[in-house]
Amino acid sequence: MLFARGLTRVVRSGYSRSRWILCYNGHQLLRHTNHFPAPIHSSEQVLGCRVIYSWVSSALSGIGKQAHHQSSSLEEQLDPFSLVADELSILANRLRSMVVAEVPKLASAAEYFFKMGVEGKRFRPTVLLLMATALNLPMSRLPPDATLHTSSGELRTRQQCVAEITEMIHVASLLHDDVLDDADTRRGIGSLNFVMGNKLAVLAGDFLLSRACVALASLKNTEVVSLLATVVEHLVTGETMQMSTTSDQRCSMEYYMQKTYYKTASLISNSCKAIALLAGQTTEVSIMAFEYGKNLGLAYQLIDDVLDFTGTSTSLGKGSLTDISHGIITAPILFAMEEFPELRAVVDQGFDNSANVDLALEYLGKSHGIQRTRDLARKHANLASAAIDSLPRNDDEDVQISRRALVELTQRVITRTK
Amino acid sequence: MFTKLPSRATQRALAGLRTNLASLSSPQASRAASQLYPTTSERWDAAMLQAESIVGDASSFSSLQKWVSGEFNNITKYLQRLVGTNHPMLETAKRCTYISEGKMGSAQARGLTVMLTSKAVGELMKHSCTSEKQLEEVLKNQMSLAEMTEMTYSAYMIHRGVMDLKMHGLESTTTTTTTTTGGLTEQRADLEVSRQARALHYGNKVSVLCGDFLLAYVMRGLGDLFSSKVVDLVASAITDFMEGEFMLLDDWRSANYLLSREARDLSRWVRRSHSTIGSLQGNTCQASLVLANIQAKLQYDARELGRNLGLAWQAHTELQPFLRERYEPIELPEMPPYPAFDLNCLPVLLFLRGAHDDKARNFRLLLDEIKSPEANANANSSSPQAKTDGRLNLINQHEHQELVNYGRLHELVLADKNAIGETYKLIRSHSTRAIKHLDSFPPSESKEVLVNICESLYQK
Repeated sequence: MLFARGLTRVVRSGYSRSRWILCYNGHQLLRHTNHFPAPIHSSEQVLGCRVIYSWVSSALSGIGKQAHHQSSSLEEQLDPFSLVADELSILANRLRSMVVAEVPKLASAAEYFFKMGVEGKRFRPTVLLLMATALNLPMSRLPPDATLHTSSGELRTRQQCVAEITEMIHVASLLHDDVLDDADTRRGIGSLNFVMGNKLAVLAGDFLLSRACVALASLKNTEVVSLLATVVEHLVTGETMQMSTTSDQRCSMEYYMQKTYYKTASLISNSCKAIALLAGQTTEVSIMAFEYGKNLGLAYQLIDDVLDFTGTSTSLGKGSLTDISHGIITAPILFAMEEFPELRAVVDQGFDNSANVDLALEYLGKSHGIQRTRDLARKHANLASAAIDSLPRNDDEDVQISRRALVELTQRVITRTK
Repeated sequence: MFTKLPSRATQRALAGLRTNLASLSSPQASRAASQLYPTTSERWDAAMLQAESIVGDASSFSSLQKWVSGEFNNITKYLQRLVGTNHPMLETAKRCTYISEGKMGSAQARGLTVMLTSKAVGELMKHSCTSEKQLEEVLKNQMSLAEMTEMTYSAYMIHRGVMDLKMHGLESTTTTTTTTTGGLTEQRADLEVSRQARALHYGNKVSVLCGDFLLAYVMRGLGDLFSSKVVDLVASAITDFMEGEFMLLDDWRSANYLLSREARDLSRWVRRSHSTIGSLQGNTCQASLVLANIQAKLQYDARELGRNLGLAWQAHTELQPFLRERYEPIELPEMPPYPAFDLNCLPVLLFLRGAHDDKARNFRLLLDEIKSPEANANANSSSPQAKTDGRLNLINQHEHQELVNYGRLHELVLADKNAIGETYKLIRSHSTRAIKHLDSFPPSESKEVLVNICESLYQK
């Protein structure tokens, strides 16, 4: 992304004319080959963004060869992650310097944090950086004034800071969750509580949270502080909702969705909103940013719940079954219960007995629970793309690419198999 | 646990918690409570009472009420389930409730100090605030800062009580691997350990969530103060706190702590105490002036005042067990007794330092004496009960992994008049430094009380 932006700047200073022609050609080609009507409808946008993005990526790899690449780029996949890869590595370095600790044990706990965060898939920072670009004012409208240029760079730094804070809050919550769940592993490596003990893991989580707060304070925007404070509150509320439930609550779809919002979607939705607030966007725009994050987060979790049953295969029971064996009732079972009310009795008995797990799986297999969960995830993914579509029109190329990448992400979230 | 100052609702909730716990405790509860923080300084008590009367009741300010009515009730429910598990969370709750009954006023001293510092600049605030309404707003924010100071501290007291189970072979999972070779009693002991471990894991969950709730509440409250500087100050104090806590963990987990260089390193003690006590008190005192828009020089003085008072207070607290002629472990209702002092407390540190530098003394021989076998007797016993106790005691947060005869160590420290004298000297030096930083404050009743509090730490 950074490279792309740098290039844009170079292009703007010298080759702005040719850049526009190339861009125009890209669109033209797209319309010719696919016979799209001029205003692109949302259903076609996914394809549209693939074409445009991959065209740009080929333009990056060699400006002179774009004509040759255009045809093959049609099949290339848009990768939102590689779009911001360069910027993410800058972020990683900054994060590293933020969690530096003088006490050796804390330092090694912090090192562990990077194994989980920076070397992970970095879903959240990717979304937030793309959102930052997607909400940019059109570059063309910014006068080539030196002072304004710095301020847009400053804005970017502040938005990057939100991405860092989000990642820190996320990892802090993972550290605490692992203690709560008594988990031994996390992303294939021993969890921090397993390696260094519960107490240290909890305190390391607090350490990250406090560093996140310090970073938050440096933004000097009290509205953003409040937003992210709310997130921390939601994360804990979600955990307590999961821990202390009556049978009726456990079997309520509404309760489940509320809990899912608190536990998963609140962080990404509120930090998307923070990105918009920092950019000085209108309330309407920040609501759209929030809606995107919320629905993307919900879709993500719903698919997670499906994968807990299916694993990478399509058949039931191949997943890790972590949730159900911990007695956590998720959407697939809730839907199955609507079809087979007798499943309720099994759920009320609990899943300490593995025979009950098998019984529940049997009901789930007979029902449309998995499919209906997937449908619900799709519905939220579509709501997320709709939020992006309803952002104010902006013809800037970077903005367009990022918006399309955000839409692509919603599709990836619901089609992923791991 | 929570400052008494701002909220009747807090008091109500605490009262509820107290009833819950009291109904589960033995009749000796009040006797045990008096052992927690032996009141040795009547002057301290008097100063604290005076402080409370100055700060007064401001229950209308509290925003804690909403939180308390909802989540706090759940917390007391969780706590009830913990009774009989020996989980530190329960102990923290008991300590908090007993202390808040006013034994040494220590449950609210942190918040009180912040409020007193705020009041000490009251005259100046009349100039720095443009309107009556703004003044009111500042006072309200300072009160809520004092509340958050207490809550932050409580959150950490709770989080540091999280127990390491797996590291000591305590699995909370239901699958018990019972070997056929082990006898029936052996199996029973294993089952008991596993049952206990499940209960303790539940205690961990409650601790993590309670602490997180308090922290989330603090974060929310900080956001409402609309001051990035204040957020920065409090968050930085939390960071420091974690660093200090990790240093403590190092000490506790070392099997050979007493012999290590750290055990007699005074600068390490200062650094650690700054992190765990001084930083929070100093930064929140400064923050109260930031909220009032008071000039930077005085902010610095407020910070140093809080920091030094915190250090003096910490040293004073660590001195308490050594003001008794005889060693007595701390006993709380329904819990096994635990040591009255830590191996890294100031008097022990100064004793070890003196003994190490004393060429006439054989340091290793001395350590052997401290680590006499009678302290280990229980752990080596082969009865199933002892096995269970041994495993569970090993993970008590209040015990170093190094087994020590605390009674003997207590004797040795008392016999070494230098260790106690040096401790007093350190308390005095930080207290007087705190008083010196009060010089630049305008005269006021609050200032007098602050001086009084500082002096009470080293004068009778």
